[in-house]
Amino acid sequence: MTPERPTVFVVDDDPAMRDSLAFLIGTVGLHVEHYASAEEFLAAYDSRVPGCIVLDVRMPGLSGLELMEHLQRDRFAPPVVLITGHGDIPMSVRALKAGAFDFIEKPFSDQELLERIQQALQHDEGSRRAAYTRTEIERRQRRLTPRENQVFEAVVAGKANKVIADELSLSQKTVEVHRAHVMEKMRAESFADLVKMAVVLDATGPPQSIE
Amino acid sequence: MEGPVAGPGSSAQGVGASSASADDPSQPLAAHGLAPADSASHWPASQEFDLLTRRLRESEERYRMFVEHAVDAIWCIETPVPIDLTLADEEQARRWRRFGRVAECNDAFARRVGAASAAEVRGWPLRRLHGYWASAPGDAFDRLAESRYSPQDRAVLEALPDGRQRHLRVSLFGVLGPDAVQRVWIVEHDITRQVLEDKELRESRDLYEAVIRTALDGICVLDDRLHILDCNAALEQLLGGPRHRILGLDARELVVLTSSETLDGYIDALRITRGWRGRGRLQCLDGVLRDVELSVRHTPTSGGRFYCFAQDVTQEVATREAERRREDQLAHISRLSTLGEMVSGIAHELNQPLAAIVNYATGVARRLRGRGESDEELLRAIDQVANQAQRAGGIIQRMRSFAHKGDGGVVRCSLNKIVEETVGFLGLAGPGRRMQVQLALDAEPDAVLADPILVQQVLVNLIRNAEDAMEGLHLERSPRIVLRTAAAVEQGFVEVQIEDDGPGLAPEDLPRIFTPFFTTKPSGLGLGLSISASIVQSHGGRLWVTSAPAGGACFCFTLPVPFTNLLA
Repeated sequence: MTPERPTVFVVDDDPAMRDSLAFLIGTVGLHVEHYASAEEFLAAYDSRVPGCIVLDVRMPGLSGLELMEHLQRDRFAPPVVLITGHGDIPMSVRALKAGAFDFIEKPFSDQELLERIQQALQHDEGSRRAAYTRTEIERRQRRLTPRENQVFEAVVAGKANKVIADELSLSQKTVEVHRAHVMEKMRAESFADLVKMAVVLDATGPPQSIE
Repeated sequence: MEGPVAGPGSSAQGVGASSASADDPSQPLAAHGLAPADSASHWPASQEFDLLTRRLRESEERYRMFVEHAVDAIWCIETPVPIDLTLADEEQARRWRRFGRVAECNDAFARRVGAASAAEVRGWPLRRLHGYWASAPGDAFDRLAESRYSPQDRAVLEALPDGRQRHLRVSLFGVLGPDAVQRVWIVEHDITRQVLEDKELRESRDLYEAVIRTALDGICVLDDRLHILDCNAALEQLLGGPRHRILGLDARELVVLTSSETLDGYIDALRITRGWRGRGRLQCLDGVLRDVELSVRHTPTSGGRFYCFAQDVTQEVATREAERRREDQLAHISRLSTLGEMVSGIAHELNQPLAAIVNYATGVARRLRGRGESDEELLRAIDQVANQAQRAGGIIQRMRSFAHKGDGGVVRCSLNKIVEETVGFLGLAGPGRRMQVQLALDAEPDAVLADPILVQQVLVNLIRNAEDAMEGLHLERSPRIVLRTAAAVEQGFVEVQIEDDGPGLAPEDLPRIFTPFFTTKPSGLGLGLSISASIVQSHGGRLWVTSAPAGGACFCFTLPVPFTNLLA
């Protein structure tokens, strides 16, 4: 993987807000790109670029919430920090329900904003790594033959070779050979590694990073 | 009627004018064929005798004229032999019926029995007369005999040959000789018209009684001093008391006057104008004040009467009053909300540059510190820029939360009911409105979590916009607004649509219509839609616009469903 420089995408229709946010965020050495509308952002959007989005919820055209609905479909979409202008609770609740990472009410201090951006970036990095890991493990698993896949599932379920041989009507020797191939193809250095990979593949929730 | 009066009068005049001539007095009689033209010449020419003769003739003429020209039928019955008064009453009556003949009659009688002249009828037996007299005249002669031929008066119903009926008042009396009755005189007065009029009068009185008794309006009759003489059941109900407590009441004690006018003033005017209609209020016997629609008529006859009709309109007045209050309330809220929206709009507009100032200032401070800047005065100043801008933002925030104080009214309520009520009090479907309002309300889900007054305000705004959009359009059909409610695409929300038939929105206006102070109306403030949007957003919903299939505008907004409904 080639981790690019994380970018903070500022989406706000007010030019002064946009520019001043970029200026403020830039002070902590982060790379900032800014867009005047959700449409403009989507046109330039590239999910491979890590980072986070700072988004004003009220904009003409496609609203902040609608933009988030778009992004929800993408596993690699960066987390969104919403700026709610009117500080209304219903809007904030809807923002979180729509999948915002966090929201921040105007007026906010620089400290608050920068902290939330940092948290969002960390979150993005974590989920990106998890997503990458999962993609990688899935890629390795696809190289297993159907028989090896069966053995893989039985092994991580904690079954002994003898039991597996009985269940699959194979000799114990053959099972051992399959098991060695599984370890090699999955690039597992130990049985524990293999189990961790199985956990990632089983995970139904958002991808988690594994050490 | 003129004959009997004018006849003797004119002849008396003739007598006076020609008193010198002895022949003259006979002229009127001769003209009537009552006496030979030259009869006077056979008598001795004594002056006294002449005078007596003349008087006698005049008298005879007068009576004859009365009889001849009477409207009543006058006739006389005789028998060939006078009837002996010593005979039994029944025998006397039998003889009258058997032998009675018309001895004398006038033209009125002749006409009555279908003859051309009185002369033709003379000598007719009783049985030749049709009707009452032909069919053995009941007990008329028995009565006469019993009473020794004293005058008898009776009402008689006579069947005419053509099937009609005639009501007669008949007077009979006999002329008695020494031991016998010579003749019976009969006067018949036709009272058919009078009887029929009486009957009509009675029927109409019955009809009016029935109408008054069953009328839903309270009806009463007052005498000239305004005391209640009579009333119907509806008035008992209206006044909340039984009839015996109502009769005799002074109407002045019941009427509650709303202004400084006096009832007596009204009454005086009524005596002249005869009729009055208007609103009033009655202090009823059950202690309740009732609004009534009053109609009063005055008749000057029979000592002056007032006929009063009172309809209870308390409910109607209360409804109208409630509607007016609600409209006032709505207008008030609308004004407050406009103010709130202006504050809100200003706050938003100011917040943006203030936030930008804070961002720039804090950014500068950070960069300065990052570079190891040590000029504390400079750093303090730039920190103060950020602080003061933040303080200004705080003030605006407080202003806005004050303006938005009215969000305490969010309750669980029926959306369809709000829509129906709004349409109701806007009077959209009222008479004289060309506008058609079509409701397509989905029964489920109906409950929303909202402030009904604010939602009404949104509806009023959007409906008025739709109305304005269609005003002045010359459509073939009448302009139409469709109001729909249905579950929204977004889960947990209900959607309301207000669709019109107008020309729709210009594409170049679309991005700006929800901006404060943007308007396409000549006299619009440009706040209606932005206020509506802000109200809907404060509920957590959305307001947007699409095009109707027919080309008009379709405004849609969503409101949240209560959580309990989501779980159900």
